[in-house]
Amino acid sequence: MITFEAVTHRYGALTALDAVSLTVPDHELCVLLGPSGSGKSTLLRLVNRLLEAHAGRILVDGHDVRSYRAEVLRRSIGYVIQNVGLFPHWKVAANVATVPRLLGWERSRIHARVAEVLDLVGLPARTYGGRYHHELSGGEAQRVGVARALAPDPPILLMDEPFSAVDPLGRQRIQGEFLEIQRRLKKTVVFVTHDVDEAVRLGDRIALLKDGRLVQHDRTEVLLERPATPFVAEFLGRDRALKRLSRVQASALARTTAPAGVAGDLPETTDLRLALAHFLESGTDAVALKDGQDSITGWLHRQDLEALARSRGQA
Amino acid sequence: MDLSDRKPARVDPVLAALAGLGLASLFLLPLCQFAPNRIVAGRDCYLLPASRTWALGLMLSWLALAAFAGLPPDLRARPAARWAWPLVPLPLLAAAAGAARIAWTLAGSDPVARVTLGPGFWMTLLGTLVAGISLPSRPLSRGIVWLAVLGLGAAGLAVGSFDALSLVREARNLGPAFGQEFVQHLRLTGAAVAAGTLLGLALGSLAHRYRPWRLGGFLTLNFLQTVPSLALFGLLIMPLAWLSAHHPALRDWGVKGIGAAPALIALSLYAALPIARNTLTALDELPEAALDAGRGMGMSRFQMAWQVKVPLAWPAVLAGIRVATVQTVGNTVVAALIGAGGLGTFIFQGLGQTAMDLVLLGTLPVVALALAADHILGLPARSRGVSA
Repeated sequence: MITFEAVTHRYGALTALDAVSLTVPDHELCVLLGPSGSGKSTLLRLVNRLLEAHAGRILVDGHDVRSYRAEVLRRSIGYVIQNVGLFPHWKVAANVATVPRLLGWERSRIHARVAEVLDLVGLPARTYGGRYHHELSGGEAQRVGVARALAPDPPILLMDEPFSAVDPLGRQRIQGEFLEIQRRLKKTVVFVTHDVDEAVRLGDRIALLKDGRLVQHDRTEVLLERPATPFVAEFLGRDRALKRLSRVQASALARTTAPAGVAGDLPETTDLRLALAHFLESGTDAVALKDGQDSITGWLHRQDLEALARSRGQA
Repeated sequence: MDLSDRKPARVDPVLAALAGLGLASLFLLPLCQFAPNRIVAGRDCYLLPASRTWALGLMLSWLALAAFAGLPPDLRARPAARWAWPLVPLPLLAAAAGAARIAWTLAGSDPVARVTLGPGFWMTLLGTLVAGISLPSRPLSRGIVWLAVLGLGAAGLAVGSFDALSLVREARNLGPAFGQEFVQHLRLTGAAVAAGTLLGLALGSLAHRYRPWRLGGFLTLNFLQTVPSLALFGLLIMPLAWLSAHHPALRDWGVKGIGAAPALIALSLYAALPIARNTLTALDELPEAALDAGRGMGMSRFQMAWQVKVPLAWPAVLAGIRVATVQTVGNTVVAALIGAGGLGTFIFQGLGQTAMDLVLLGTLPVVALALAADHILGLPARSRGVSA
């Protein structure tokens, strides 16, 4: 658990963070969202003491981060940044091995772990381990960045706009892959982004910052349903209803009986926003849901989807 | 330089032109000049009437290269064409042998007579070097061939084949002084580059860390660079002479107004500039993201420096050291004027006595040293595949 207690940080005369208090529960991904200059990156860099708070405390599992030596603290926290920052003179394997090496692991253990995390991010060590940064695509480099952060198996990950330099198509893919990894590993993640869609897609919680102040911090669904201020509503966009639907899988609303007027089928993992698009396009009121083996597991009714959108909207 | 991947023309134009020039110079340029003594003006000696054998040899070796230049392009492009490379030094060998032959005939028994190498010989040397660059070869086989040429030359010197050439006569006159000044030249250059490297690294890193140092430090170094080396040597004589007179400790250490002390100071200052500039650029251009990531992953200051900053900045710093070394080899020549010794001694002696062979005796090793330094310090960059 990461707890910010009335944290303030200044750059000269400029107050970047003004008494921000926030708790990130264990095993959850908390997105720090906000326009540029809102202080979200500053907040993240306070956790591993790349910056120091001028007032307030930051606790990791109840211990003030200042009670550790900065290097020791940083080695226990995964760190992923926008421009990846792979060491260009080291091969991928050596890059991934950075923190385990700093921690003094044995060679054989490092070797095994590097292969394991590279596999995890979908870059087999045999193919990619010997490459240099300049031999990787943007998406591959960023996967290596994630693998490098995961190498020592830290309980906490700090991710500073990790996917924003990847092209849109690649970003969608890497987001999906990261979501899969996170579902399995259940790290405590602080994730900075200015991209609302990314925040909605990845965040268990979203903390929205503006001008160094915390505007609203809630579970993502709650934030979308009940924006606390006009700024939050505006920042999240007018299509909040659609964004909410995008967080729910079709299987969540599946019925077991086949209605009349079924047309087509969708994978049961399709999100409700895409399901709605299917209804609009096909003009039908129900669709069959299929699992990975291509057998029908249930049916999604348009009226259920609309009811969900309406009921939550009024809540 | 490797031009082997270039698509060959129908006739290799460079090689053909070189062969043509070589053949023409055999008839038009004197291979040597003969003078009964150092003082009177010499007269031209051509290879052709003087030594029919070596003239024929020279002609045939150029013709062989011309024939190779005229081969069909696909034949020249074959890997086997690299075996033509040993042809390259043949004209040079023939010209050297011819010059030695002429010298024996004209001055073999007369110790004051002078046979100097003439334009014909230098033209052949130049042509050989350019031919060596333009023909495809493996670096290893090229090295072996040049070593063999050097070996032949050394063997010829050892058995006295070239003894009648005045270049060799001047060298023999100098005796051990040549070796001493050569070593002195190396020592001055080495010490100045070492000191310049330390100074350059320090200035470069300080300028990187403290921006205000940039302007001041580089303005000073740039200004120094514009001061002619001879003037800088002269300017240092006064203060160093004063220091030496007032501080016996310095005097015991060998610090005087003239000699090695002012030379080393001036040469180090000149050497520092390219190193400082490259150090600053290299440090400024370290990838920001990699530094942030390194810090964020918990590297200590020391680990960042030795594992990230130094290896990333090193190639550019080494390039600076390379430039500084080549430059210092040349600058050290001037240091002879204030009594620091080195190969410049012979150059200025030779200028004073209008003994051009003495000048050459100082110049040739300086050129060789500069080329060797450039080559050796360029090796790491080439092995990384950076074209140098």
